[in-house]
Amino acid sequence: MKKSIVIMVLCCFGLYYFLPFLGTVLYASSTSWGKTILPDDFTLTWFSQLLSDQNFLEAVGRSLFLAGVVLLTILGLMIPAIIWIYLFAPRLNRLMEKLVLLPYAIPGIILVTALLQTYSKMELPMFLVLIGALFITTLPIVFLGITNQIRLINMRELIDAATTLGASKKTILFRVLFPNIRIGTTLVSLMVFSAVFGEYMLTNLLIGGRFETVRIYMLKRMNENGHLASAVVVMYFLLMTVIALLTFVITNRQKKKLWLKGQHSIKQCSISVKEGVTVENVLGNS
Amino acid sequence: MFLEIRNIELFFDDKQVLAIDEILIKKGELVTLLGPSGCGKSTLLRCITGLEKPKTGSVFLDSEPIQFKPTKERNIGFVFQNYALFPTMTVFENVAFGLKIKKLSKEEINQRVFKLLDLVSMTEHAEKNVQQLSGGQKQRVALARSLVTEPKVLLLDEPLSALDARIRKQLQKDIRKIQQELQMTMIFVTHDQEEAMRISDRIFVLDQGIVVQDSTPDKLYQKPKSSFVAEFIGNYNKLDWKELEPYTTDDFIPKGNEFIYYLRPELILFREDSDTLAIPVTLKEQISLGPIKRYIFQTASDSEIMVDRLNNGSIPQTNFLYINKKDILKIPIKNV
Repeated sequence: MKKSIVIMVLCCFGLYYFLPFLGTVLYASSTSWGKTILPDDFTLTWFSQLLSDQNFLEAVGRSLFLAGVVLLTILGLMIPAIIWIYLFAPRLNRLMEKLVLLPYAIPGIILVTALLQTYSKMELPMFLVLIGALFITTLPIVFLGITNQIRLINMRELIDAATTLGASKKTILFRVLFPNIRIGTTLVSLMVFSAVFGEYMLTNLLIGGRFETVRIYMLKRMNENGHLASAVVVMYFLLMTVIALLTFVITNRQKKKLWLKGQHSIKQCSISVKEGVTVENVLGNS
Repeated sequence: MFLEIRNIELFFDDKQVLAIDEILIKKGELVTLLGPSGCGKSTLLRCITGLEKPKTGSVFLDSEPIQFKPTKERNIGFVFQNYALFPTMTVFENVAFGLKIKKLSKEEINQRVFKLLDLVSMTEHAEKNVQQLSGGQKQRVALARSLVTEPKVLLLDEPLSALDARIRKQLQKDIRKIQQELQMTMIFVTHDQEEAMRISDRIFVLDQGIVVQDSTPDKLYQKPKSSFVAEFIGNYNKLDWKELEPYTTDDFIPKGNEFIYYLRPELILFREDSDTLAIPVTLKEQISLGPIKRYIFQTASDSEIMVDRLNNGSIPQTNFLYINKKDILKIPIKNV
């Protein structure tokens, strides 16, 4: 396919994606927009109103808290489990690959009904039930993402190599395993965080009234004022963009650090390179 | 002996994958484990290094039993087929990994890492991330990484099989040179018989988890003990005993139910000599193998005989192939 056609197709999809967002931004920045292509005025009233609304700030706080708790729970439980399955029970992997797809096969409403029926009578806090439900729905992202990363780097061989070089289990874990799944884990974390932060159905049906998240707040305000609801969407988008950028900045900084560390070692060793190598020198250290 | 491996038996589920009676290796020797894929050669290396736990058997290294020692305490280097370099680290950091674990001083680490990098001609790439390197360069780094901790034995598990022919040949030379310079005891695994012949002091041929023959490369080529070795090691012609039957003499009686007859392609003659058998043939095909030309002849009973000659452009004008009786290798059928 010609490059120009590819660029044109990409531009079309880009516009398709970008225009509604641009429309939302403009709508959130105006007081009236009805008969003209562009809004009649420009204002930041809705944003300032939103940021001074205690309910909105609390909703953001709750969403962040919920996403953080789910993320920590799923990473804390699933990363060791995935590594264990890969290293010690590879046959379980096939079963897991099928199991983790179940959340896609079972509609959310069935999941909610089943959860409510099962746990409402057990006096289990619904917040815990929600975390469990969100854990299950985000499981495919975590399992498939991290498993693919482990396969890609051939983790088994890296562990064997480190073992033959005399590394302890702790060293292998912190210097070989974790650094090598860091990028995959970062991306997976971002996806889980974003999915939970913006989740509506499970949260609303399980504990909606008592735990108002950003999405629930947004839908509530949408019925009252469209401009304000648009401002919530824009704020939500900006928050996710900031989180994504922070994640990538941190990942790249770690990479850069690694590179600089290598450079530093080289400078320190420039003298020893000039000495040259003899068999006696090599064996002499033993 | 410096390395003694005895009575190793390993099972995967109920299937026996290794049944090694005895492998004895001298200090400073480079031996090759040669065999087809799945014959257990890499698994044997993993047993030696402790990455696999055999059901029975003993491994003595420098007179010390090591079979119950954990891998990290065996002081055995390992070079992997797919390099197994740590992708988040630079070349320098990869090579320094084993030394940092030993908690050596920074100065000593730097000195030893750069000596080894120089030995494998990788000094100028020290600051690069290993993912930026070519296959050959990666394997050089892997070699340096496993040598820097000064292991007593270095195990190389098909280290060159992922590389192209030119780099492979260069690395074969380099590995042999380094081995001889350092007087390092090495076990090299390959399924390539040419590679094994080129670099080894001795070759152990494995088939289905068993050592079927061990000897020097020359002896192995000239005197294979079994049909498997003859067919795996060289391009031996398998002769139909019925074709040899008309040439029966007092000292040469072909017996199809007792022996299989093999003949190396370079020993077949185009001219009659004393004590030769003449087999009527027609030239069927010529294959150029670079310096060698392989001629495929067809016999009256439709079987094929290969003949190798220097590739000097001449085409054999002959209707007979002449075989010296003493060059015919008889392998008892019980050894097949």
